[in-house]
Amino acid sequence: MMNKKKIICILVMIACFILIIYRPRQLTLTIGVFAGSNWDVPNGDCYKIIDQAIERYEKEYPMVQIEYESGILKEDYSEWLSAKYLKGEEPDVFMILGEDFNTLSALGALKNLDSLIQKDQQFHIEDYYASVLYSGQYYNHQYALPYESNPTLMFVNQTLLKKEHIHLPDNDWTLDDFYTICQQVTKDTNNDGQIDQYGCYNYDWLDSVYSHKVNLFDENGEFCYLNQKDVKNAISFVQKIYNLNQGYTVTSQDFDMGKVAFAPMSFAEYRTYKPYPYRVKKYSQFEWDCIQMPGADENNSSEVSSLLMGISSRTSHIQEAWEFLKLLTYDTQTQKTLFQYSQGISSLKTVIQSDDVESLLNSDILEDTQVNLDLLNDVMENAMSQSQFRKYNSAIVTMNNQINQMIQNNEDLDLSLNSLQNEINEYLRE
Amino acid sequence: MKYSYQQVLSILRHSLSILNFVIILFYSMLILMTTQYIVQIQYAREFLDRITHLPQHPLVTFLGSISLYAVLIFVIYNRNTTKVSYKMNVFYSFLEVLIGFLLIYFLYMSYNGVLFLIFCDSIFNLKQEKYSKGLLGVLIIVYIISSYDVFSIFVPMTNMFEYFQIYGSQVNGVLMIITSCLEMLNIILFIAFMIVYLADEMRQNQYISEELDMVNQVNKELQNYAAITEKIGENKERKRLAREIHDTLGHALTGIAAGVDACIAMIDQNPTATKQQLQVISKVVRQGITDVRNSLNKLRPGALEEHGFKEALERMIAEFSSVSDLTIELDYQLEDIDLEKTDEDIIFRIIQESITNALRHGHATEVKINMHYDKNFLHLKIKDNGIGCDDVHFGFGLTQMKERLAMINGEVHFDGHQGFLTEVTLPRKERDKHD
Repeated sequence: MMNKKKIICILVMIACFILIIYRPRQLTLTIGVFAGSNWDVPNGDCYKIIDQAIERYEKEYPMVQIEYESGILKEDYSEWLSAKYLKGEEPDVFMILGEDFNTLSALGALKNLDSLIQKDQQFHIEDYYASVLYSGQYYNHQYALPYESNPTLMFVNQTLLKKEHIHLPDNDWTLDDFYTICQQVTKDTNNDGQIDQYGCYNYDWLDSVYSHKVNLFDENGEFCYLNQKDVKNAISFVQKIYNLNQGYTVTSQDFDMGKVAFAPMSFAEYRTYKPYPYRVKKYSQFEWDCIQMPGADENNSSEVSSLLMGISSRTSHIQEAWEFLKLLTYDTQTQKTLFQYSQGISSLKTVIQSDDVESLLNSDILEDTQVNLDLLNDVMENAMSQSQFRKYNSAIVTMNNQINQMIQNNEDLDLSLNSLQNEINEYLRE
Repeated sequence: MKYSYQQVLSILRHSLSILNFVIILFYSMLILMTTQYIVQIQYAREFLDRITHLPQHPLVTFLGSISLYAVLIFVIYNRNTTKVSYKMNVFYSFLEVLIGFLLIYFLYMSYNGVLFLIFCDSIFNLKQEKYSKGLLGVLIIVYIISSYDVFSIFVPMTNMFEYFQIYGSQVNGVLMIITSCLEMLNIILFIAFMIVYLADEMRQNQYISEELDMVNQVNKELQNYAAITEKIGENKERKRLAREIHDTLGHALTGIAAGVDACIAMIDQNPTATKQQLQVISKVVRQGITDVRNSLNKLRPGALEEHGFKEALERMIAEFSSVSDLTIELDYQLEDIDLEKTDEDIIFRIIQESITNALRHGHATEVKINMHYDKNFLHLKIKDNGIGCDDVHFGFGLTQMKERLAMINGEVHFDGHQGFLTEVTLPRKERDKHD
C-alpha cells in the first residue's frame, strides 16, 4: 500500500518536473548595456541601436522577450554587473568593459563561445578583423565578440603645419617622419625664451610600443618581455620626443589652443568633434584632420580598443542568447547602424568594406578628410592587441607608472627595464 | 537521575544534529548577508577581483544547503525509527555520505563537520565491524577531500574565507572565533559520542562474557549430572543382569546340578527312573535356554524390540534429523532378506555410531546410507559430506565396531577423504539365501 503511494508520488513529481522544463512559454532574455559611449564622448542615441536590434529580434522570435535596465552610466556599469553576478542575477547577454573582461573570464563568468561558433554554420569567425577578435580571447578561447571598435588615429593640426610649411604626412609615414616634424615645429614663437609651440601631446609609451608591434607578455600572462630591444627602442623614442620640450609637459589647454601639431586621437573622438555641432565647440580655431599613427616601418600598426559583448556562463537560454549576441555583433544591418548612432566602427570586414557605409561615414562631415574606409580598413587590418590574462590590468598600471617615471627622469633604460621586468614577473608568478 | 548509555548517546546525537544545523545556517546566512552587504557598499567589482571563482546564486546556496540538511536529517531519523535490513543500512550510510558531500559542496567546502554527524549515525546503526571499518575509511577519504584546500585543487571554487574578509579585521576576527568555537564544539560532541559509544560497547562485551561464563558453569554441572546418571544406569543394569542371571541361569543350573546329582545316584539302581529324571533335566535345560534368550532379548535396543529392522532404522534416522540439521538418505535394498537378530543389532549400532560420528566429528550436513546384497555378501555403505580426516584414528567407537563385526565374520573399511566413508561387508548365511 505504502509502496504504491510512494511510486505514484514519485511519478507525479517526475511528470511535474518534465512539464516545468518543457512547458511552452514566453521566455525573457535580459541584456546588460550602459548609457553613453564606451569612449567617453557625448552620445545622445545610446539605446537606439539596441532598441532596433531588440525589435527585429522579437519579430523573428515571438516567444522571446528582451529586457534591459536603462540608465546605467558607464562608470557604474562595472559595479552594477559585478553586483548582479554576485547576486546571481546577471543578464544573459551583456557588454563587457575592457577592464572587466579578464576578471570575468578568469572567474568562469563568461560562456566559452568556441562550441557555439563551431556549431553555427552561418557564423564565420574570419569575417572579423583578427586583432579585435583577439581582444575577446582568453587563453586561446573566445569568450566575447567585439560589438564596436575604436582605432587610434593621429590628430594633425593642419593650420600649424601650413604655417611651418610642412606637408601633411602620408598615411604610411614612419616614426622618423614623426620625430622630424616634431623637431621642426617645437620652437619659441613669441621670443620670450620659452618654447610655446610643441610637437605632440599625450603620445605615450604604449602608443610607441604598438607602433613597434611588440608583445609585452607571453600568451598565458606568465612572463613579461620588457627587457628586449624593441621595447627599449619604443621607450627611448618617447624619451626623445619628451626631451624636445625641454622638460615641459604639454597640457590639454596648449592642445586646445592649437599650439600642438600632433596628438593621438581615437576614432570616436574624431567622429564626435569633426561634424557639426561639436566642431563649433571644440578645436574650432584651427583646421585639423586625422591620419594613421606613424609606424616603426612602412607597416603602420596601432592600438584598437573594442567594446566586447558576451554571454553569461550561467544562462539557461544559451541558443537564444547566442542568436541575440550574433544579431548585435555579427549582423551587417546592426553593425552598419553603428556608423549612424554611435562613434565606434564595426569590427566586421564586410561592413567596413561595403560601399553604403562610406556615405554614412562622411555624410555629416563637410570638409575633405583623410579618414575614409580604406584608411579604417588599413588600421583595422594592422591593429595590434595584447594577450589577455587576469593580472593584465594591474600589471599595465604598474608598468605605466614606472615607465613614465623613467621617461621623465631620463633613466638608464637597460637597468630600469630589467628591474621592472623582474618585478612584474614576480607579480605575475604570485 | 541517571541516564542509560543509550539515552546519553541519543542526547548527544540530537545535540550534534542541532549544532550542525546552527553551523550550516550560520554559514549560509553569512553568504547571503555578505552578498547583500557587498552590493550595498558597492564593493562587488573589487570582490570579483579577489575571488578565484564565481560564487553560485546566494539564494541557491542558502536554500540548497538548508534543504539538503533537512533531507539528511530526514534520512537519519527515518532510518532510526524504521527497522531496516542490513543491506539497506549500508545503503543508507552511503546515501548520507553522498548528501553530506553535496551539502559541503554547496557551502564551498568551508564546513565539513557534518561528516562527524553522519559517522555517528552510521556507527550507531551499523554495529558490525566489517562495514563500520569500511565506512570509516570512506569517511576519512571524504573528509580529506572535502576540505577546501584539497578540493579546490581539482575543482576551482569560491573561497568562503573571502566573504569573511569583506568585513574589517575586527568583525572578521569575531566571525572567525564564532566559527572555530562552533566547529570545536562539534568535534567535542563527536568525541564525547565516540567515548560513550565505546564505553557502551565495552560494557556490553563484559556483560556477554559474564553470561558466557555462567553458561559454561551450567554446562559443566549438566555434564556431571549426566555422568552420575550414567553411573546409576550402569549400576541398575548390572543389578538387573545379575538378577537375570541369578533368576534364569542360576535357577536352571542349580536345578540341573541337583537333577544330575540325583541321576548319578540313581543310574545304577533304576535306569528307567534316571532316564525320566534326565528328561526332566533336559526340559529344565531347554527352559533355561528359553529364559536366557528372553533375557538377551530384553537387552536389545528398544527400537528393534518393538519394530522391524527397517522401521527401527527409519525411526532412528527421523530422530537424528529432528534434533539436528542433518539430511539422511536411506537406500534400503534388503527387503527380501531375513537377518539374524545379532546381525541386526550390530548393523543398527554401526549405523547409529556412524551418524553420530558424521555429526560430531565431521560436522556433516548430509549422510547417505546404502544397504544391498549380492550372491555372497551383504554390503553397507555410509557416506557423509563432512570434513573427514586424512588418517583414520581408531577410537573407542571404531574399535568396537570392528570387534562387533569380527564376532559375525564381518569386515569394515574406513576412508576419511572427501567426507567419511564406512564400508561394511558381511558374509551371507546359508539360510538367508533363498536361491
